[in-house]
Amino acid sequence: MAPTAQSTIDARLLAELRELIGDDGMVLRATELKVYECDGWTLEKSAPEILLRPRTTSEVSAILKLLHRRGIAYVPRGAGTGLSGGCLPLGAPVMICTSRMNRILQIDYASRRIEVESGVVNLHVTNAVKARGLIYAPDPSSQVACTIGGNIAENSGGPHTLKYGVTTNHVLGVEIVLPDGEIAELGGPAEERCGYDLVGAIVGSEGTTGIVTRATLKLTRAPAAYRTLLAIFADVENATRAVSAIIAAGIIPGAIEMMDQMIIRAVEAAFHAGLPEDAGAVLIIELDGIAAGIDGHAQKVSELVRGAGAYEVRLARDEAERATLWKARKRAFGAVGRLAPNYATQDGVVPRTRLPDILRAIIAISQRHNIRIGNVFHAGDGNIHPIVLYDERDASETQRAIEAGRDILKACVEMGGSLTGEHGIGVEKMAEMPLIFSPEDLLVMSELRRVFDPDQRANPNKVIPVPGACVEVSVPRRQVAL
Amino acid sequence: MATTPKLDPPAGTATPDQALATARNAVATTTAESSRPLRDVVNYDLLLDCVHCGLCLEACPTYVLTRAEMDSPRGRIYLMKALAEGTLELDADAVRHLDLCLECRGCETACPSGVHYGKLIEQARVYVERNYRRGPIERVRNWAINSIFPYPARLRLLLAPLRIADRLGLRPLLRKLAPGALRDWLDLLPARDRGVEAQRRNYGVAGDSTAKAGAASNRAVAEAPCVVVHHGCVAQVLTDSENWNSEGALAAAGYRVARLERTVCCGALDLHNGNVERAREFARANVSEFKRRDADSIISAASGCAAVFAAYGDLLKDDPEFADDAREVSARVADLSSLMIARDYRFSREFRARVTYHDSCHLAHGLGVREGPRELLRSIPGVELIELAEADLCCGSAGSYNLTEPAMAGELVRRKADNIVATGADYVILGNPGCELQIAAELRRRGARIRVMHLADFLALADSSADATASPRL
Amino acid sequence: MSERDLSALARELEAIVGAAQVRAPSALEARAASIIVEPRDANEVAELVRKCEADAIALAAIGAARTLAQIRPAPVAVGISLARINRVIAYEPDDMTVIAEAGLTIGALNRLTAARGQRLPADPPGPDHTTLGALVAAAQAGPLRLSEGTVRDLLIGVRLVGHDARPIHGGGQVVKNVAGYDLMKVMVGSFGTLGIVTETTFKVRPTPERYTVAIAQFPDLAAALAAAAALHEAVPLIHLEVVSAAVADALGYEALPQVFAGVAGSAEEVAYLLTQAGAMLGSASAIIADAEAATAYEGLRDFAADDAAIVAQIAVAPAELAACLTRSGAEFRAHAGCGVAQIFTRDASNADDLGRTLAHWREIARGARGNLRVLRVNDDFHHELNFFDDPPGPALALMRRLKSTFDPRGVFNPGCFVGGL
Repeated sequence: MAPTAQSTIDARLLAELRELIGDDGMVLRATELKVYECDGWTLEKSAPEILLRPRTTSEVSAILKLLHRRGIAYVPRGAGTGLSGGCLPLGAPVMICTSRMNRILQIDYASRRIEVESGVVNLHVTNAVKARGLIYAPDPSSQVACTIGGNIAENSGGPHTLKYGVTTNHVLGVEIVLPDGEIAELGGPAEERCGYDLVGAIVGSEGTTGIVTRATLKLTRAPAAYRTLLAIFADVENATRAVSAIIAAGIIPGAIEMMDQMIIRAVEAAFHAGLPEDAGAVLIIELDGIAAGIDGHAQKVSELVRGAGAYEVRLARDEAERATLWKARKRAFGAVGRLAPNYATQDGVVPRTRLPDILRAIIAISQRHNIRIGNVFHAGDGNIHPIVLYDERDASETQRAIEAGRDILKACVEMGGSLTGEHGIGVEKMAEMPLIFSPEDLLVMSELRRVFDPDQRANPNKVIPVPGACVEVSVPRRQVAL
Repeated sequence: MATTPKLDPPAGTATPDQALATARNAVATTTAESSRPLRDVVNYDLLLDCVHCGLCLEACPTYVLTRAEMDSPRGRIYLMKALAEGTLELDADAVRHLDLCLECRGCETACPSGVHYGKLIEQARVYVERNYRRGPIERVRNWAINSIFPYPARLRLLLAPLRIADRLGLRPLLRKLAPGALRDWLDLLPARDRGVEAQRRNYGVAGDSTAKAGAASNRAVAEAPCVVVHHGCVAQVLTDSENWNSEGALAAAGYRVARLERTVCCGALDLHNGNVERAREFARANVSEFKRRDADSIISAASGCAAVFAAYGDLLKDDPEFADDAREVSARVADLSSLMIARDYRFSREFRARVTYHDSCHLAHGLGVREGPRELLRSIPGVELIELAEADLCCGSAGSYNLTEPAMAGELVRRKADNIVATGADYVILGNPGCELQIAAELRRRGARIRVMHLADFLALADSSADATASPRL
Repeated sequence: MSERDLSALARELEAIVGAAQVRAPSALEARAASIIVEPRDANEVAELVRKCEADAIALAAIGAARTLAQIRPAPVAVGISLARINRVIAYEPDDMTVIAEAGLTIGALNRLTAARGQRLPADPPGPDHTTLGALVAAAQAGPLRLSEGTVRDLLIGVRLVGHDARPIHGGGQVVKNVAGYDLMKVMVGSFGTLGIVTETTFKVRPTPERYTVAIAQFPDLAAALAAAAALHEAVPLIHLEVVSAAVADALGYEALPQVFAGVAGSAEEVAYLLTQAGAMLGSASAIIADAEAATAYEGLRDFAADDAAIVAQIAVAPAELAACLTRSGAEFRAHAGCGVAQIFTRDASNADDLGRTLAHWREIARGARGNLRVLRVNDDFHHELNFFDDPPGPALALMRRLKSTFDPRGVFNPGCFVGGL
């Protein structure tokens, strides 16, 4: 638990909050607050002092006005599936959860727009429109549970970002309650904005600019056809080279996912998906689009990956085979749990052409620290998820796992990459921000944040490192990377 | 770390350094926790499978309704972990949120890490029952449930007055006089005629006096695989047609149908209520009985029971006398649809109907049976299958859950009924008697004309080969 | 600023960057800035910013001179030309990314990437006179926005000189990156009011193997717009332009409403899509390919209604666009499917006329939950119009705070953006 130095929650505040949202909108008991002490990032824990569960924008606004008057900081939360501790209360006694604001408000099929409350679950958006041949394109692997509000906070990605972009490319307008309780309508169903692109500034701001209560999203035409290939390689080097070969040929698949031998074997042991256990690496390449010409593209991809060293290429013959391949990929992390008592997942990015280099570096890091590291990731956009295996009962191995994780991130940065492709900075990577941003850059970012939140009461102590607040992480990251 | 210039501390908090130091030092405590002795709440290693990703949230019926973390599988696992690690005491709130779990195991289907949630919640309930003293009303209620439902004779006896009342047309009066909670229970019980008919016939072999003659008359049948249908406890009193019609369908598909000499409760009720010892007793009795029949496949019209049979191997794994047999029993558990499909059963008669299908939890999440029943329904000439929204979201029946948690169960069944009505179907088909009673009661309450039927009953209705004769009575 | 002050300022600027780098504005630039400076690198830009901030002198990057000449009520004192800051820093075809300085034009960049079969698919009018800096500042888009998005979807990294002459960078050179705040979005469409962008990093995309256009003409606007809507619903196109009769005439087609449906991809894909599109457009359609298609596309892209009294861009929910265009009574070039159109009229003899027309258009845009931005007006009237809609109160308040945060001394292209920022 992390109470503030002196609790600011008093009886009067509680009475006023009760007036605003009623008893059923408030969670006050320690046992119930306990489960809110972390999200998908479980290394650090801190329970809020109170949890508020508003149902409407006006409730959110009333709450934030009250907190503003009292100078109390808060942390917003959606479904709590984030992987970087974005909704961990750090010096924020109040947590505001949007999960009850989950109505789909309006669907305009002809314009391909949908307006939803921010607590709507990502997949529910697609489910609402798929009968009309539309989808909501950003599909983080947590899409069955994560909320649109959380996606906006984290600028979520997914396996299909290479072709379809990330959340920010699909959010046209938001209704946001600013930290002072003021409600601002920004953007709208139109593609052009009037004035500064504040929506663009809010997406990815990790809840530090206010609480988004509604969003107008772009919908995308669902692909009419898929071709899913499994390309089998003797080693990761050739597999990653094949990724660049495909892109260089002007083909942009819907997704290119890679698994190395350690992951292949774990997946096979768990699910018997028919992957070749002797392979050094496999790529799952999925083409999507109109039916015409897709076989030609599949043929070309097949030739390209063979040219890059694939010794076998299998094409999923039907929907069932395609589903099996994707199940193997999506459940890979679950399978990894069988290889070691603990595992830590990193989320780094390198330019796609540097994939062979970063994988070589990871092998070297693995050997240097004498620790096992598996790889399963979105190869198409250079977004790697190395999985570091360890046993937390072994203090030395635990320490080596931490160091290996850091070394991988540093290697990404040295190769012109970034600290995070889709999990966000949150609390997890604040300390590493200076690796890619200068003090001036960070200062400008904090200034930008204060445009929305001058008092820094919205999700304080996140994203931008605060001097002197850097703590040594004592346990590696054990989590599902998605 | 490089320093960052000119950052003001956030307002309304301690200085950032203090706040962060306080908060982030909590990190250390989480690792220190593991060095404390663990309480025997659940198998702790099973808890470690959960990586707290949250993918289970929307698969959980209670989370879908309350949208609160403590009513989600992840939240409940977190409570179990905190109880085990000693960072949380077993208080009324913890018990409340563990109680609210339906044990539908929808979360297991959603979980990418293979967490055995069903086992965890069963173990946690044993811990709760041993360590938490419930209020008097709850105790009486649980005692009543545990001492009546598993015993068909007792249940029949209890229901006798109701039957008489029904014959005399007095149910409305009875209902009026009953106190609130009892009234809800009463409403779950169907009127004496469910409008479902079944042929009570001996198809079988082994043990029945007629078996030998039957088998001898047809050598092909004699060599066919043998199936035993466990008739359940509550099911044989309230929805017996499902058992008989299951047997009828299997016989029609060319199976030999065997019957148990003695049928005792599968133990599901006890497992759900934290009474694992009696559950093991039931399990041992059933394993012996199954072994005696030695059927190739074991099914139950109640998928909740079938899922428990499938778990006997695990339940009795530490019992040297029964472990092997229990494992064998679990391996032979099947379901009606897959057996029918395996024999490539064809329906000869057209039956025109708009049908929707509800996934009973333990069939879908426990046994992983989803496509089979749908495929079978689609294979009936004239049947149009309409997909049900949230088909695999629990209806709230969940064993005795609708009796112990009527509010949550009521919300769930209303949501289920809304979805069913929206399909415009004439029939809703399912694979568990509890779901049937629960959903039928709600549809009755609404005056909806949609008929709720177990798959076996529907097959009997649709298939001319199962000509109806006797009508089961309550 | 008086002539004397200006020449004194010019000498001071010469002291910073050298005499050869300071010059008088061209005719086009003169409406945007009084003195033009051509720094050679970002450090010189920083020195210039420092100087202007110290003396409270307004400055603006002049790459978007055409736009600035329109929207500025009066020239800024110092126009920063990035013509010499125009190198390609790194082009990585296999990564599909390019880092280039802000003074480079889209045209020059695309000639480089064409060798690898790629392009920056942002296509405002006149790629050869639109610098990357101007692209970011004014955020104009063209026909390809339907399939490739706009500059906000393509910009992945940015370097700029901000207040206090601080060098700032945001983003990176990877296509997927959520580290830190999205400064790129803040800069896109900011019209140079927050700092001077010196370097940009873009995603580039493969140029399709084949590109073909189906052109169909219709007896009236309603039919053309309805056909476009149906086409958008059914067929994935790379662009879908609808032009009114006068635009068709100016582009050299028959003076009737015309629909230009662009399809691209492999030979097989194009053939299939053309069959689909052709079936929907009916017998009135013609198919053009290769050089002919390229010429048609360029004509569409570069169309600017030079002789109009007023040109504005309306943006609404796509399904609302047809009704808005019909109500406006204006001539137009529409990006159907995107809900964006450039609308214009030649009929305006005085400021009152223009004001009424504009008020009418604004009301139409607002009624469809959209917005309107004036792109150009007849020289005689441009001082008298508000080029931008006023955002709603809370949004405008945030924008004011953003401006005062990034430009506390108010020197970056002040006084011509939304709300007078």
